[in-house]
Amino acid sequence: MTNAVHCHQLCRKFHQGGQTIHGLDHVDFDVAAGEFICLTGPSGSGKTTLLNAIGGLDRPDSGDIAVGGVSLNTLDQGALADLRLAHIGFVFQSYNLIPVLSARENIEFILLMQGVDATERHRLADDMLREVGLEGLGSRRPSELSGGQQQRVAVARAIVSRPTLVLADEPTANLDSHTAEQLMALFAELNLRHGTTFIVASHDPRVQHFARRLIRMQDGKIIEDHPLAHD
Amino acid sequence: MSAKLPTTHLLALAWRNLWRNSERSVVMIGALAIAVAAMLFLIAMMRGLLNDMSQQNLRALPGDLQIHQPGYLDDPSIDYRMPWPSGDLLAELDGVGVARWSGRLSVGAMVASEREARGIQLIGYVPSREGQNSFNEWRLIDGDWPSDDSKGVVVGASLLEKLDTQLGKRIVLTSQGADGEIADIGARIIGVYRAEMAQLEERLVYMALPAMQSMLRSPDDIQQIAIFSRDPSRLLDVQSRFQQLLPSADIQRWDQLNSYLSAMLDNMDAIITVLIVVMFITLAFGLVNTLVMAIFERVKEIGLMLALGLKPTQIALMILAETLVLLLLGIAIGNAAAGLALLSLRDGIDLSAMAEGFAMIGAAPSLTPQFLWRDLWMCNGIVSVLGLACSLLPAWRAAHYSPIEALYRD
Ligand SMILES: Nc1ncnc2c1ncn2[C@@H]1O[C@H](COP(=O)(O)OP(=O)(O)OP(=O)(O)O)[C@@H](O)[C@H]1O
Ligand SMILES: [Mg+2]
Repeated sequence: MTNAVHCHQLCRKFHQGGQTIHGLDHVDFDVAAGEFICLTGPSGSGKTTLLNAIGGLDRPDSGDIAVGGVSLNTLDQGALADLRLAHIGFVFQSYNLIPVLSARENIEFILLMQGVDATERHRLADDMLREVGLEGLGSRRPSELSGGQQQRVAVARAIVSRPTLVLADEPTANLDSHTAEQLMALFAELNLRHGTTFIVASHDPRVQHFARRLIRMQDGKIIEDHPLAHD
Repeated sequence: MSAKLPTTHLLALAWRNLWRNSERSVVMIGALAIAVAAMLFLIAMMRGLLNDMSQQNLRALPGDLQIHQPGYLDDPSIDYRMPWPSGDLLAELDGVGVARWSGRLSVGAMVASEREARGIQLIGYVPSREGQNSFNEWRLIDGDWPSDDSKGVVVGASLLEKLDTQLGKRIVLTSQGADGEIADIGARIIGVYRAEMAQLEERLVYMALPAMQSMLRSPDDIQQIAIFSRDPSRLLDVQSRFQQLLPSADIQRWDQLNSYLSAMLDNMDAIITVLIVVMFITLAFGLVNTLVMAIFERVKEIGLMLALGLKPTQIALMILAETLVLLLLGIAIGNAAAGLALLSLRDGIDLSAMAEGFAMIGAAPSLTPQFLWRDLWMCNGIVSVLGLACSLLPAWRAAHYSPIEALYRD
């Protein structure tokens, strides 16, 4: 069976002020379909850089990445965009929502691009709004929502199209523990029910509680990679 | 997967983005609207003026063949004058090819009653040679046409009304004399006519040639020899005979006069195009700036859309759609404003307040703007096409953002 994600000897250097920063330093790992991974490590350790590389947003300087068996090196920008749209759900670390669209329209944005028809879009968005606890707030613009509510809209958008791989960067930042647990439970349920693969970058112990594998990074390297046992 | 936003959504997105910085958009739309309205208005005024000139000249001064000094047609002033025909010319005029002929004067002048003053076209003609019925189609409603030695003037009914005077009263006519000095004369109104166009009725004032010659201090001079041929099919021959006789004179057939005037109208299209383009270039800086700013403010958002899988071409289309909405709003408002202005002025603009100045250059005392649909399409078309062209660079730039750099830019 092909791996959901395959990374081989990934290197990504950044040059800043005459200094070379190793964002990714010979990273090797494989993710089987249906895994739920918590990617952790101190700030600046390379978590976001790794997620961006897997999502085809950023090209590594060397090494290979394959998503669902397709090597990203062989794809041009347009094909990468298609891959993201069809298979990957994103929650970005900082900026997630289109300001001129309502919460519902943000959630529907991907479906719209995928060509899902209007009734189906509305139904899926309504379900999603309910699941992330934002029932009745669908018509608000992002600026009329709290940070935590915006975060939940971003999560809803990432999973509404049932992607095979979800890359979530600090999805529980800004959330109170109850909501954070609710979201993680939602991820876990999708993971169990649909076999969706999750890679969640987070410092949050609540994420580790739901994940089944932990990858710890430091200075662009993977320094720890093991399953998480839960009782 | 096509990663396309349906057109309706693209336009909806463009519409909302436009009102994000509503102040900036309103200023830009306003500038576009004002420019478009001003252009349309100016074009209609130019066409009106030209129309005025061409129509009035031939209708007021008919003739199968007309002889002028070179330059007169471009600037019908007393400076382009010639003596009453004599010698060989006179012999030819009285020859077989010519049914009848006459000499005329026609200058811009100012007429004043006790109460009002207006700019007019003063026409001097020889009543016994012209025959009133063939000279013009105006209908006399009061008084008489002048006789050859009459010193009175015949005015249009609406001019009479504007001057707030009556048949039998005296008016003062002022123009430039042959010596370059002011020439004026008091004259009695001896007749009142009606023309089917109020514009002409207000503009044309007739008097006998000798009286006008003495007023302008050019006792024997005329500006135009009008010839009516005996056989219209031989007009070309007649023309070439006169041209041989008067090699340096400007001799035109009526159809040439018409096309001379319509050539001026043809040139108008080129002039109008240049005007619109020049106007647009001044606007373009503002437009490009607005668009670049609008994109610069949205770098992250564009990065996000790209990251989510929207194609660069769709990003470019979104920017183009925004520009299009902006342009269409500006054009629509500009058209409406110009339409209202032109509609309210469809009976002509009264220039009599400035008549003194206009009279001297021979312009009409009233100007009717002429609106052509062609001008509207041309103006709107040029603004749309150039406007969209202005958005190509910003759209191209936005489409080429790297999603990651845009998304994580500070
Ligand atoms: N575009 C860039 N230009 C220069 N340096 C960069 C760039 N992106 C990332 N880096 C550097 O690469 C390293 C890894 O950054 P990354 O954002 O992946 O860390 P992170 O683990 O996500 O941190 P955090 O927990 O704070 O989000 C950091 O030292 C960062 O400064
Ligand atoms: Mg990060």
